[in-house]
Amino acid sequence: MKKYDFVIVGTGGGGGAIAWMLAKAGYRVCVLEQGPDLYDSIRTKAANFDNRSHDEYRFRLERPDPKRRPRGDYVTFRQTIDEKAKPLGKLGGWTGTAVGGGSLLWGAWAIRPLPIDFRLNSFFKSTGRDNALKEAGYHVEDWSIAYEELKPYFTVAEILFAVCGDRKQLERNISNADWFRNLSGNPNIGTEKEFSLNLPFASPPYPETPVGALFKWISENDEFPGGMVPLPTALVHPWSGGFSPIPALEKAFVQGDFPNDFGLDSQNPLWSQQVRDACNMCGFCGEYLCWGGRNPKSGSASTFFAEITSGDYDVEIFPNSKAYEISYDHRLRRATGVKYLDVSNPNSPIPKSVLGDNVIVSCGAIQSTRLLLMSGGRSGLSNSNGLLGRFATFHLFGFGARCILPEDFQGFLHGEFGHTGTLTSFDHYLLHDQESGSWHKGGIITSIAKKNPMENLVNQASKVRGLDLLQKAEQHARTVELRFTGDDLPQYSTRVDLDPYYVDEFGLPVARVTRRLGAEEENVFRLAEPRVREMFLPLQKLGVDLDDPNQFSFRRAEVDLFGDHQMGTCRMGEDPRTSVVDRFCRLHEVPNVFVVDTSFMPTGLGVNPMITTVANALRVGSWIINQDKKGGSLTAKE
Amino acid sequence: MTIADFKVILIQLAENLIPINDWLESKQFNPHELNWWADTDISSSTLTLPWRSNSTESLFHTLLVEDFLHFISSTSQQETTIVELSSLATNPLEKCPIGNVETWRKTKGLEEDPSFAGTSAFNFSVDSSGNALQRELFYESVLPVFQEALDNTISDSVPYSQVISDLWDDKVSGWSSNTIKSSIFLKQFLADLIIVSFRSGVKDDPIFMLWRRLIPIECGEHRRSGNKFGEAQIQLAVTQIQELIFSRLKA
Repeated sequence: MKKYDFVIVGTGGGGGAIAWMLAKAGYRVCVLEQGPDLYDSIRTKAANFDNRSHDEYRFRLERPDPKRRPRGDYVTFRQTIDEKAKPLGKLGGWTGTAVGGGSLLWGAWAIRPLPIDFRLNSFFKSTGRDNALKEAGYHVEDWSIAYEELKPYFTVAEILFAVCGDRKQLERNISNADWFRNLSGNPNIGTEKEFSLNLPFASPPYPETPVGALFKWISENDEFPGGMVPLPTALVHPWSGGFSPIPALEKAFVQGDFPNDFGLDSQNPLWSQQVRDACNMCGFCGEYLCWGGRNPKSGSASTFFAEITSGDYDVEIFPNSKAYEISYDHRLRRATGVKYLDVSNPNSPIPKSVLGDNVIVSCGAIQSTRLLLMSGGRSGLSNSNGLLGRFATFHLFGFGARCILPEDFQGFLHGEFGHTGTLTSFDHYLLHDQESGSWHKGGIITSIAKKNPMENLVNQASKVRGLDLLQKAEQHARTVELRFTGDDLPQYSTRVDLDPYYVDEFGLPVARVTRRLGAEEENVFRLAEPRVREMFLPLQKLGVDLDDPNQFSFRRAEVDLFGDHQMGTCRMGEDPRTSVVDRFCRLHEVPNVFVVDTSFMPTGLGVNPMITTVANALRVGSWIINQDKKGGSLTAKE
Repeated sequence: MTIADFKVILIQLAENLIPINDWLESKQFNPHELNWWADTDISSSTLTLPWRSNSTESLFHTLLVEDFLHFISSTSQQETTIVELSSLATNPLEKCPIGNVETWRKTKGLEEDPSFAGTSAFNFSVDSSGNALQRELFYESVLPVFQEALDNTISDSVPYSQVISDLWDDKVSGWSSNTIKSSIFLKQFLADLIIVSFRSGVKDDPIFMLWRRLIPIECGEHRRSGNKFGEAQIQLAVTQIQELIFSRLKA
């Protein structure tokens, strides 16, 4: 049986990025993906590209068969350990089950976190809140790596993902925020020098849409000291004529904004001559597969795997291959490969296995944990401290406010243009409690174009009918929304483990999520509600009555609504007693196993995690390649 | 009887659940008045929306139900896996690749007799016990009951609309308790009608594709398979909303 240098499980942002690096460096790589390869038709037969294979309606709405759902991982959910978890029927725990993983389904919001995200515990200590948070059940930790270490990898990730944006506007937005100015003496906040970059994004901001124009006007009020700025977006700029990352990579390299120790030889071209099509603003990328011709939406399938499959690399990609165990040699304390089911015909799954010197796990924080728990001995792989699956964070999905505009705005918003995000602001990345003087972690706040009114109608069909139903559709198309990417802090009790009572269609235990929002999340909701209302005040001039709940509503997060932003289950740290992976994302106890998805994050971020995941995977890939070049062992402790 | 044999009562029901004519009469927004889409694919030569020029509600609902029937027949094969998955309820470990799974589960601290987690997923058709059911079987079992309920309940004093309202609220006493609840039937049918309204259907010429987009177009959206928008269209739309904002401020 062929033995690979690396077996990679999962093809999202993390798995894709590291697969590309390792393939490019000449390693023998095997990639396992539990879903199909939907991009195959784009890569090989562009003229015959059948966009029905990317049909959001079929995938998201009809869903008569969980096997065809790209979000088909079964998850059970409970709020406390006293409850028996129940299968989560709605969207919870979704992943992108196809080559490209979660990066197929993300909203393309490509925004870096801030230095404070890497030292949140130090910040809370400096403000005297650390003990109160501990008493409330939170385990906030600083990251083992600093923002500075990831910074050049963010640059590479943004370029490869064709991110559109205005760097200077974005940086001004941060430095003009009240919290940034008020806390400027706190070393944990970071300085402008720390986060600023003299390198523009590879493309100008994504075009302004009507929803963006409305929020630009709204953001001119006092509640937005920094205003709102174009959201960095990982789509090939609509009227660019196409995108190749080569010029931007060369510029970054010349300017020195490139990783010093990037494992790949900078003398050789990093990227092929392939040009990706420009986005045609079709509006089907919000959280679906992109319909826009050849690859305008950035994800690992349209970038890393497009590169891998176009070159002469020793890589094999096995779609429809669902990993269920990392083979483990107890004597050597090493992983030796991966066992998986060939589910090409899911009614007749075939057990198979691959051998590898190293295993890289990147299935999302829920499914990676599940795989590690199903492997090894009684408690799973590298879990003698019992922390595997603990400290999960999911962001505060659903958190924000929405407003229905007067009827004369009908037909003016055009939610169908481009992606959902339009403008964003760091103004409420930290929230201040005037009464207690305490600071709380918020997140970016982003204006949203509403998704398909027909999708909304399908969901409404269980509640209303007749004229009420059709009027809901009308209202949906003139609804605007501000959404917090709210950071939920890690709690010991928020965890992923194996459900003792439920199995999936292959008889394997499903992941169980235990989560309850804590006191700190309540604080954040309490502080955010009046502010969000104030942000919408200008709409009163347009005839909106903010006191009418039919026109304006504040929304708290839904505890069982989580998906793309699943983080933290394999906490990174230097101390094996308190963490699961080290700073290079290796399992402490099985160092030839790496975890490169969002699982490693000790705290969640106030931004969408995809670009951070990609940057971190590039960092880990660089380290692996460099370590090998130096003749060092990947499994030795540094 | 087949589902197709109920076409007439399904069209009547569709008219009740999605009353297009009433909506068009009551709504203020008229897509014709927003001259944004002149250069889109809808038509560069004619800006006539057929439902705006003719009173053709029945065409909309007839098309919808024909598409619905096509949808049921064309997807039933795909849905057979639901039934297969349901069989896992009795033997959920049947396909487990792990050797000696009972011992393995015990080692991992898992229960000996687990259940299959998949059947309660959202938006399945379900039978009277709440189990996932192929759409075709769902409708074949419930439509005769619906027909019977209409026959037995409609009278001079209880009009059709009242019967549907009562069925929506599960208030029709004659509805058999041994079958799918009337509310579940109506809600599933309504959801399926909406789903088919944005799919390809039996008749796929441009006019019928336009009819299928009636609801989003009347909401002011032009989202569909094959969408593409260019710089001039986006900028025109931005200008229009800016002008609207300023006109509201002046007013």
